[in-house]
Formats: sequence, structure tokens, C-alpha cells
Amino acid sequence: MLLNEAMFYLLAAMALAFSLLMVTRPKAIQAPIFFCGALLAIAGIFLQLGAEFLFAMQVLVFAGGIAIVYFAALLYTRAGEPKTKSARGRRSVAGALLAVVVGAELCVAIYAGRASLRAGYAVVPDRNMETAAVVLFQHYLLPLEMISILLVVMMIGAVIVSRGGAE
Amino acid sequence: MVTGPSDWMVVLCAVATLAAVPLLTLCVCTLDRLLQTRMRLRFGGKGISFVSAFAGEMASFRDSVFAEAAPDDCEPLWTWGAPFASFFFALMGLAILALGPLTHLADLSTDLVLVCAAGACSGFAALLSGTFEHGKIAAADVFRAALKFIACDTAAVLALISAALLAGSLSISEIAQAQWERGAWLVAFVPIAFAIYMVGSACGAQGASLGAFLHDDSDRPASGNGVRGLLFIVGDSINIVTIAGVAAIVFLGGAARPLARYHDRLLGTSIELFDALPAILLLVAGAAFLRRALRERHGAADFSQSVPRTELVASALCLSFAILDGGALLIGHSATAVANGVFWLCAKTLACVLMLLWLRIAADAVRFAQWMKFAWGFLIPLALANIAGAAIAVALRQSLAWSPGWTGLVTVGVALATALLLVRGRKERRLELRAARRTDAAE
Amino acid sequence: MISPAYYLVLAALLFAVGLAGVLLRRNVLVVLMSIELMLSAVDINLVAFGRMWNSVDGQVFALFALVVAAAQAAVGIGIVVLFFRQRPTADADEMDLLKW
Repeated sequence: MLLNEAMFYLLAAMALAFSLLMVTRPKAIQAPIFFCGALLAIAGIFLQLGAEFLFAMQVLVFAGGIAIVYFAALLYTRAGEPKTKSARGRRSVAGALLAVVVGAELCVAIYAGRASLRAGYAVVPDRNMETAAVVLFQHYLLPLEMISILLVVMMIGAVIVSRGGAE
Repeated sequence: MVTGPSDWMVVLCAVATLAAVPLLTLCVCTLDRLLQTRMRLRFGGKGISFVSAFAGEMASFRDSVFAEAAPDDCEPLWTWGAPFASFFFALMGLAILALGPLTHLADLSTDLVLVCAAGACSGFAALLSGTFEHGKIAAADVFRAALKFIACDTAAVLALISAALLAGSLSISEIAQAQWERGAWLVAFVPIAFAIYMVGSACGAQGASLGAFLHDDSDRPASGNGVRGLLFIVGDSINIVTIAGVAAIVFLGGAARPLARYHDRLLGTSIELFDALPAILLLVAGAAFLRRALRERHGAADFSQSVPRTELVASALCLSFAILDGGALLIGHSATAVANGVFWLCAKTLACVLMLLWLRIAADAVRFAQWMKFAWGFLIPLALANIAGAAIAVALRQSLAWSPGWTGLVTVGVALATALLLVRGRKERRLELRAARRTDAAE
Repeated sequence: MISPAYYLVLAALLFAVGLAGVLLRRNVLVVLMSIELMLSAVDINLVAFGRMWNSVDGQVFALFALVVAAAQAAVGIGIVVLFFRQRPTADADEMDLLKW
């Protein structure tokens, strides 16, 4: 049990640290590295919550796919790095303040509603993957098919958009 | 702090995996060097022995570690972070294999996908660090290698999925268990999937691009030097071992012996014939090595001194393992199962490692455009046809309970139809032939 | 088991950090990455609630959100690449014209 909590704190600290680094480092080319690290920490949180399939998908799709695509896009658009300093000034402070306020508000809401949060089962039951597959294909078949169509539309759209529209 | 005994076992297993990493790296690198020499890619002729290849590999490691570490104009986070990331992911894949199918300590129900994810991330990290070589961004090479990697890895994962469909689980341990119960290796049912997996993995992960760089002494790029280069090589070797391990367990049955259903006894004893096979094979191998050693000692004078030594050591190892296995046979059934299981798993993994290394070397001759056409036009459609066939087979056998004969017929028919539909190139070739015939007729 | 409140707080903090990234960064691709971070934070929320109610629906919903995030990443990057071809910049402050 103590190992469980230690792992949670470690993963949470990693996720927060990497995401803060990603948001604050001025060099844009470093952002995908920290993004990847944050996603892996989040994948660890999924594993801890007992979502094994989601853990695998997060590592495979997010960390191994999306982060790589972002890195490739950053390499491609590297010539457009801003040479002038940011002229935002007060808008930056307002943005940071807004983010802090939203975060604080969410934490207050969670604290206020903590009485209605139950513990859930202590040990994840076995055959989590099978249960998820059964539920996905029996109860959520329509959303699954719609997601597939969305992916096909996305692929066609990405090809058309990156080709430049009318040629 | 209350941690049960299983937690300590997990830690012990992790430490053992970490300790095994250098040994595995050295084995894989030496085998790679041996194969390259055999295939005439580097100097050494055909007489190179294991020991001299080993010595050569250690020398090149030593040279590379003390060479210049990193190019000047590079992004330090990437240039130093990528080798560590690649090594970390490779180690993750090996740890999943060690904790899951090998010791059954932490069986995850999605082992297979995780190992593939770890391998993919490791390959990507290794590829992406090559973007900052020689002071400028070598993005074009990296993108090309990345595209090749994505295509080949997709085909490999699809091939794995068809095997998982037949076994009914994504957990490697359960796939091995299903093969044990069925008494036949999965490769007997989906041989094409096995071929696609080997070709896709060998020519995908760090295939001809970085791996070839790293193992060629004469022309190491900047990313191959120093501790970074060492980490890349280690990560690459661990990846090869992991892929070979997955292939051995998923397709070749892991610790299961071949022909598990035949229980013929050995000459009036209570030992099954195929249980005694490892001991017999090891005896034969040991005798062969001994004969080669003795013969070459009396042979030509200008063989290097190390040749007989290697053969003697090899024969001694084989004979001692044969004695151990024979002892296990005599002790009883459980000891036999353990000893034979270890032998079969190691033999199959070794065979797969050799096959992967050979495929990787042979894939160097293929151009990038040919690879893209091959992977997208042939490998992936074939893998999809495999999945279709496996799905039909499972549905017919389990849900509708058809007989094996009819199931096999319909499966093969559906798979062939899907393959013919999807595999590109047939229509183009037909059109080309028609155009050629037309021009011939016009002339 | 750890109370779900911890996971919810983590998700809230990650969401806030993502929001800060969207508002503060100039590079459009980093903005897109921060949006993905916000989506991942929501995934943590979903899975934590799923575990709380002992059902697997949380994971399934999170899977759908993951797929949508992947689709958004692909199309978003396509648009950025297309824009980069017209004007060689990936700076959000310079993408201020509706037509070019």
C-alpha cells in the first residue's frame, strides 16, 4: 500500500514537473521532450488506476505517435522561430493569473465535494481488458463506429489540408 | 512498511534484468559482427571465430567510448536525452518480458501491446536524436528512416494481432499457455504472420539506418560516439533480444517443445522421446564441436590460435548442459519440464536473434522507395488478410462450432480473397503488360 | 486504495498548466501540445471516476477522448504546416490576418 502511494506521488510529481517545463521553457524545440515525459507519467497513473489497455494506448498513440508528429512539425517550422521578444507583457501576467485561478477553483470544488467521493474497489479485478472489450463492443458499438469514421475523415482531411487545398 | 515477498521478487527480477543487459549486448553485437563477416560485409574472411569477434567488438566499444562525445551545434537536451530515452524504453520492453512471461511476477493483460509500444518508442528516440548531426539538422534522412520504421512496424504489429486473435489474449503468458494446451506452435497456423513479424521488426526498429552506422567502425557519425553511442548500441541490442523473445514465445511456443502431443517413449524407459531431444541435441552439438577442434589442431598451421579454443569451450558448454539435462531427465518430470523449457526458450530466442540480424543485414540492399512500396503495398495488406483469416477462423470454430476442415477451407479462402483485393501492384503490372503488348503490336 | 480526490486534484492542476500553456505560449505547436495536455488531464479524471464507481465505462470514454485528441493533433498540425508554407512563421502573434 505504501509503495502504491509512493508511486502515485512520484508519477504525479513527474507529470506536473514535465508539464510545467513544457509550458515555461522558451525554446520551442524542447517542448515535445517534456510533453512526452508528461504523457508517460500520465500513462503510469492510468496503470496505477488499473486501466491497462489505456496505459498501452497512451504510450503507443500519445507518447509514441503524437509527440513524434509534433517534433517533426517543429523541425519543419523551425525557420519560423521568433527573433523578437514577446511583446505581450501584461497579457502574459493576466494569462498566468487566469490559469492559477482556474486551477484553484477546480481544487476548491473538489475539496467541497470530497464527502461524496467513495474509495472504489481496492484491487482491480482480473480480466480488465476483456471487460473493457465486451463493454466497448456491446454497449458502445455505435460510438466506436463513429470514432472510426472520424479517424478516416481525419486522415483524408489531414492529407488534403497539408497538400494545400486547390492545386 | 509492509511489503510482501512478491515485491522483493519484482525488485530482484528488475536488478537481474539490468545485470543481464551487458551480457546480452555483448552477445548480440558479437553475433552481428560474425554474421556481417560471413556475409562478406567487413574484413575477416570466413575463419573468424566467436572469440575474435568478441575481442573485436570490445575493442571497438573501447575506441568509441573514448572518442569525441557530441557535435558542437546541437540541442543538448535532445542529443543527450534521446540515447537515454531509447535505452530506457528498450529496458522497459525487456523488463515487461522478464516480469511477465518468464517469471509470471507481474502479468499484465496487455503485455503484447506494451512490448510493441516500448520498442516503437525506443526506435523513435534513437531515430530522432540523429537530427542534430555534424552541426546541422539532418532532418530528411531522419524523416525517411522514420517513415520506413512506421510502415514496417505497423505491419509487424498487425501480424502480432492475428496471432493474438488465434490465441484469444493480448497477454504473452496466456498466448504461451494457449499454445501449450493446444499442443502446437502458433507458427503452424499463421506462418505468414511470423514471416511478416520478423521482416517488419528487423527492417524497422533501428534497422538499416542507425544500426548499420553504429556497427561500421570506419565511418561513425557523431551520434555514434562516446557514452551516447554506447547507449544506442545497448538499446539496439536489447530491442533485438526483446523482439526475438516475443517472436519465440508468441509464434514458436516459448518453453513448449515441438510435437507436444506425441508421447512415444524412449526404448522401454519412462522418458518421452521428445523430452530427451534437448539432451540428444546438446550431445550431438558438443561432439561436433569437439571433432572440429581436434581436427583443426592437426590441420593447417596458419589458423589463429583462438579457433580450437573456441570450439573446445563451445563443446565443453554443450556437453555440460547435456549432462545437466540428462540428470534432469533422470530426476523426474518437473525437473525435466524446467530444464527442457529453459533449453527450448533459449534455443528459439537465439534462432530468432540470428534470423533478425541476418534480415537486418540483408535489408541494407533495398532502396527506400522499394521499401515503401513493399511495406505499404505488400506487407500491410498481407497482415490485414491474416487478421481477416484469423478472425474468421476464431468465429467459425468458437461461435458456430464448425469442424476444423471446413473452418480451414473457408479461412484460407477468405484470407486469399482479402490478400488479392488489397495487395497492390497486380493491377499496375497487368496494365503495364497490356501497354507493352500494345506498343509491341504497333511496332 | 488512494482516494479519487488525489487523482482529481492532479487532473485539475494539469488542466490549469495546460491552460497556462495555451494562453502564454507564442508557438502555435506548443499551444496545440498544451491542448493535448488538457485532454490527457480530462482522461485521468474519467478513469479515476470509472474506478470509483467500479465500472469500466471510464476507460472506454477515455479511449474515445484519446482518439479525438489524436485526430485533433493530426489536423491541427496539417493546418499549421499549410500556414507555414504561405508565411514562414509558426508564431501565433503573427497569424493575425484572416486572409493572406
